Amino acid sequence: MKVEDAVARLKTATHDISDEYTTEECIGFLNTAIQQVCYQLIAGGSPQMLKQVTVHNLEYLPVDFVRPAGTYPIKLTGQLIEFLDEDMEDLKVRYFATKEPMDNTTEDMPFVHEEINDIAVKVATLIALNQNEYDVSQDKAIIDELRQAIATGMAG
Amino acid sequence: MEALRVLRLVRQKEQDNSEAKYSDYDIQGAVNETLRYLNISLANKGNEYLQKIEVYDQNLINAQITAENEENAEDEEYIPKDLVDFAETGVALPEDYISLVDVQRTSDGYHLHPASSLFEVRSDDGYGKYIIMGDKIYIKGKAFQLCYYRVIPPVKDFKEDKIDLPEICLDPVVKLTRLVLNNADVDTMTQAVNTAVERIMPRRRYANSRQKMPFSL
Repeated sequence: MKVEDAVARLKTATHDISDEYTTEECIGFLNTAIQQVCYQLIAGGSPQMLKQVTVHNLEYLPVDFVRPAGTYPIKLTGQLIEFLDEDMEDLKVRYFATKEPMDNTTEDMPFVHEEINDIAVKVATLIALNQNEYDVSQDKAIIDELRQAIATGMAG
Repeated sequence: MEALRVLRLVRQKEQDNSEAKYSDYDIQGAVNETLRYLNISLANKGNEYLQKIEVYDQNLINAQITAENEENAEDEEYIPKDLVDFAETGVALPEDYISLVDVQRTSDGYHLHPASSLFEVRSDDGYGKYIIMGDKIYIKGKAFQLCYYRVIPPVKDFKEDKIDLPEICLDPVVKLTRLVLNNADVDTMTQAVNTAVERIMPRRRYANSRQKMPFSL
């Protein structure tokens, strides 16, 4: 799914006939929604959110780093990585990564599974409607269940 | 037993082949903790898996020390090593030593007796006696072999290392490693280690060994 399709679906779902939400705002809603879904998948330990990187002592964490998969002989201070064993040359670290935020409509939505992209659009819709003080509690309950089902299904 | 097999079995049992839950570092720590528990339990129960022999020869050790001192004679920072006298200075026990099985004289296989004091070993009657004090063994004689219970070396690299235990210990090591990974409490762990060790140790050992009768010729 392209971002422009996601934005169009978001505008349709919010009945945005007066073009109340700009495209940039819609991308912002989508980015927030994608982060929510990412963190839910990471909390469930989904292997699809894993990445591997080789790090060196006193290097900075990758920008998409959320948490390491397991424990490593490193000490994290903010974004800085320090090896506990200073004689170690490098270390392969597997970590849970979040998706990079999108900034234009020509990009693809970040998830390979279209169903997860759908969920992200639905969550973005709720965020948009909530901003206009609609009562979204019913929709939220349904989408929470959907998100939970996906996180459990994709858990490691 | 290859360490890599233990790693793969633990991952498979923990449903973590994708390495999402545990890093190799986690599992390495847990395997080594398990080996330490097993080590203590097997040594205290007198299991032969841990028995090892080290041969000591005073002349050979002193020749090596002399050669090393001569080699480093021009190095100002080098502190020359003292020569060894088994009865006077004693000799260091092996680094992987846990407890004693037996001490034999190398020349004739005579089983040495423990002495009650260092004085007794150094005395004229000290031949055939030994005493262990601190990390040293004192013996009147030039050569002996020490049989002892050893420490199982820890795993440092899963790809290269082997765990120095027989194949029968594979499942207990995997099971106990999983208990450590899942933070089992001390009582559960102790019970599990004891059960595992009891299961892998035969009830009767050396059943066909020939006992020497007191008046046999």
